[in-house]
Amino acid sequence: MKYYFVISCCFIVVGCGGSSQEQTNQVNTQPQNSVQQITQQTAQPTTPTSTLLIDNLADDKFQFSQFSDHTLVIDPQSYGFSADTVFVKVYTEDGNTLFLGKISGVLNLNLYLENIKSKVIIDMFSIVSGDPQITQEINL
Amino acid sequence: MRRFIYAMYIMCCFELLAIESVKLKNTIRQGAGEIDLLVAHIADKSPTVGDLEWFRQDNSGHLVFAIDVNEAASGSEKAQSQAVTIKNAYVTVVTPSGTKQYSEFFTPTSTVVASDNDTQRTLHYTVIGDSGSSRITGSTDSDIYGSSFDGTLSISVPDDISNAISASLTVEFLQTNTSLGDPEAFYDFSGGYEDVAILSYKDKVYLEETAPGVSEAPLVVANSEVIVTPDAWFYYPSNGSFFVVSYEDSYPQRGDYDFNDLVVGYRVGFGIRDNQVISLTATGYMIARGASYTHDWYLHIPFSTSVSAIATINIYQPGSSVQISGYPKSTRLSNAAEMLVFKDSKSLMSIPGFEFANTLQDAPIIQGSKFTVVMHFDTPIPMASIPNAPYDPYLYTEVTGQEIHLPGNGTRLSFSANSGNVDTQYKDSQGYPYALVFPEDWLPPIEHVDLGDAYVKFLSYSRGDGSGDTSWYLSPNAEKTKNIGQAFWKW
Repeated sequence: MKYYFVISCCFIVVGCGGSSQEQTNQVNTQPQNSVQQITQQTAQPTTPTSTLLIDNLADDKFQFSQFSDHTLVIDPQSYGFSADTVFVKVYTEDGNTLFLGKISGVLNLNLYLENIKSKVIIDMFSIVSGDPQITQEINL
Repeated sequence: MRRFIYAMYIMCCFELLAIESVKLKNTIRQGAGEIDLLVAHIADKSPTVGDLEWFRQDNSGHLVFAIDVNEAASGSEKAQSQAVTIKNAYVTVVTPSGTKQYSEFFTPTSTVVASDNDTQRTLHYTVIGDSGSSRITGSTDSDIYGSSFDGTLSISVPDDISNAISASLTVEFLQTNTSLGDPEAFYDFSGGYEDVAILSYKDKVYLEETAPGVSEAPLVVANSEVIVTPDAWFYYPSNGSFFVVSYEDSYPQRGDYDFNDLVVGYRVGFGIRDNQVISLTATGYMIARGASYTHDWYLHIPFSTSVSAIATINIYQPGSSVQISGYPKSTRLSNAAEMLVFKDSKSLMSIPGFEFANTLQDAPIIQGSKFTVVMHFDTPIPMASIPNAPYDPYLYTEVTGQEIHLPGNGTRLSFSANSGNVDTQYKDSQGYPYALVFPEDWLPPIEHVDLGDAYVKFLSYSRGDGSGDTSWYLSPNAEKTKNIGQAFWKW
């Protein structure tokens, strides 16, 4: 019981960002990597007459990215690890690994996930006997 | 002085009597092996017990073995990096005075994995390797020379074994819980088989310094200062999925919006050590080519600082571990993390009798070439310099001479028709880009089918007014897309 209390009190993994609109804003500050850019054309959007691109003008509100940026901040020491080095795995619900490695401090992790992804899972473990082994779902 | 000369004499004799590493006959199969140390793969080379004692002394009281890791791809395992986990290893020596087992073993690498039917991860020794490489040792007489032997396994044998009647090595690999994905899937074992060799000290040092496959393996705990590996790997979009970039190649003219002129899947991994990027890997496939033009496809990772690296690129023939002519190719990158990956897309991907590949409704589908790129940076790069995904995968269309990038990326080639162009948006008169990046489940439209016809939800999503369905690409019009799913193209 005490163990779970510690975990819940120390939970500081932070998920942020992620919406499509946020993605638009972020991309506008880093245009070298953007796939959502303001069109240089003067075309004006019209009422859609079909689902075809050829029949519809794209204006600067159009988004063409199917991915969103997210930031995770993970501090393993807050989970009660005594080991100096903690192993961290971050992965999606379908088991694809986003990060895998050992860290000695706070991990700042930039994720770039499909818009349909709503959560990631974090495993934390060490080789020190008595340290916890954490599996935590994070809603983005 | 006399003692010194005598010692030198003894050392010289020892050197003159040096025995070369020997590949043994027995192998490890299905994760277990009982290896007779007195029977070589080639009978004439079978070691005597005196030879075994020489190997033991040469390795300072250890018998050292090389294992040729031979694993089916699982998790992020690949030809360039694969591994097994050691559960047990011991040497049994039978002498006239009895039988002794020596079970204190170690390898240069470990990892933290859960065994089968368990989720608790613990530290285990590993053997890491690659496939298909030829080792170049100091002596052509060594069985390691020209072989594909990989990591080493050392077992402490403190006793003289020159009077042994028999000697054997027993090895058992750990069955990891592969349902957890990596690291367990990477460090699992499949059927094998794995060859085993007994090593001289010089070949032990050679293999441990070469460290095949180690630099690309995940979650390596190095037990030797010789090994420098990443502490961690960041994968984009993940270690098991790909970005799919598709192009309209008619830039600056408007295209037909089928976004299938060239379709490539790719992913990128960053190897991190001490909070800096020390290496980069990229893997990908040609998926479809729906163009009359031929193209060159480049992958540029636009770090915010200048980078230099040694890079190696492998291009594999479709469905094969054999590379196309001229590959692998190593090159020095002096300013940017950028490589020409697929040159002349038409020659790389074509179906006899058809103009296009994997975009025609009634034509057969084919697998495309696969690439892997590995870069080792001369100077570690601050993590803050890592660019945002999906990076800068770009096309050079040979007939028009135009570069086509994702919006926001400047031209890169000095010889392209639009080199230095201030337009970094690459959008047509309708406001649509010439390149789009999709998740790997996206299917390319059939030739001349508008993307909005192949996916009727695309336009409503792209308007960005909140009414769209973010999963639009999971609802293709089956008659207007080419059913070439990711299970097929990522062979």
